[in-house]
Amino acid sequence: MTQSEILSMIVGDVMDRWPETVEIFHRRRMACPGCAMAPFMTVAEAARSYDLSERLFSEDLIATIGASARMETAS
Amino acid sequence: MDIPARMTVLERVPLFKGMAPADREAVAREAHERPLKKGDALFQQGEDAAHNYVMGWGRLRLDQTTPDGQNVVLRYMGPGDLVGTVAVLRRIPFPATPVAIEDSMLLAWSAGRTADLMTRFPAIALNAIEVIGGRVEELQERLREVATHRVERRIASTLLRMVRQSGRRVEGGVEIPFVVSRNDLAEMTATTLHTVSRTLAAWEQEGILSGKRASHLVIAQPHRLVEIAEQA
Repeated sequence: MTQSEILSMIVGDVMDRWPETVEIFHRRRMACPGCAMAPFMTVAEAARSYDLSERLFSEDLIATIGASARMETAS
Repeated sequence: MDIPARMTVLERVPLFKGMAPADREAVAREAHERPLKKGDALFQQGEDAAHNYVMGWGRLRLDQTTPDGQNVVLRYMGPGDLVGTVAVLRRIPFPATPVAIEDSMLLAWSAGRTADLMTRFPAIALNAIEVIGGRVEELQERLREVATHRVERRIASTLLRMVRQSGRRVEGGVEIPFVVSRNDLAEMTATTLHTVSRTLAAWEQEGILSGKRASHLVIAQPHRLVEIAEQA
């Protein structure tokens, strides 16, 4: 997963596919989990809406997704 | 629609969730179809609730007339929504008039057939409770908003509910893909036409809403609308 891939994904799809990322949104006090707009906005748009660095935010998401993928492989 | 086409419609309907395909086929066979042209009423408020309907496609506006003759838009309904179910189950007259705002197709079962299907397939009865419970929650939410929220916040929440039900991503934002008049919004948010017009004009000026697309509202800054809906 590259930064540009995750940034162009839809926020709702990211949370559906990797529920462990919900915490990342919560931690930054983003309203995305449960939001009516989540099925329509990209991760990049969400980051910009909250004045977040797209780079740092996408790194954090990728790290979380990567960590759970490794746990699945190990188990 | 042939039976497979009906089954495709029913697959997406929460009322028939968790049913075996053979059972769903039986339900599809026992339905009859009710096409509506834009502007047609499905039934009239006050009529005996003879049929229970499920929306296949299209869109309805649910209108209610108050005893003193005022019209109120209760909600909009889209594919998968139940229409008239509560009245059929409670054996009361239809409490409102659904009007097609687009050409629409509904599947219908008579009141007796509906009761019979629920007895034969208890999943339908359980699903009905869930669907109707969701509707009650939505109404409680709206009632709370009317009691406690400022009007801008109520209008924003109402638009977000429409987005959740049927929003569509378009160039330049998120579109509500049917015509919502300012008057309808005023009725749904318990305010005046003047206030809705003033609020929407202000939002257009701020760039939250953009110029309309075929008279559909387009939300150009979804995040700002969410902020308004959630502000304390």
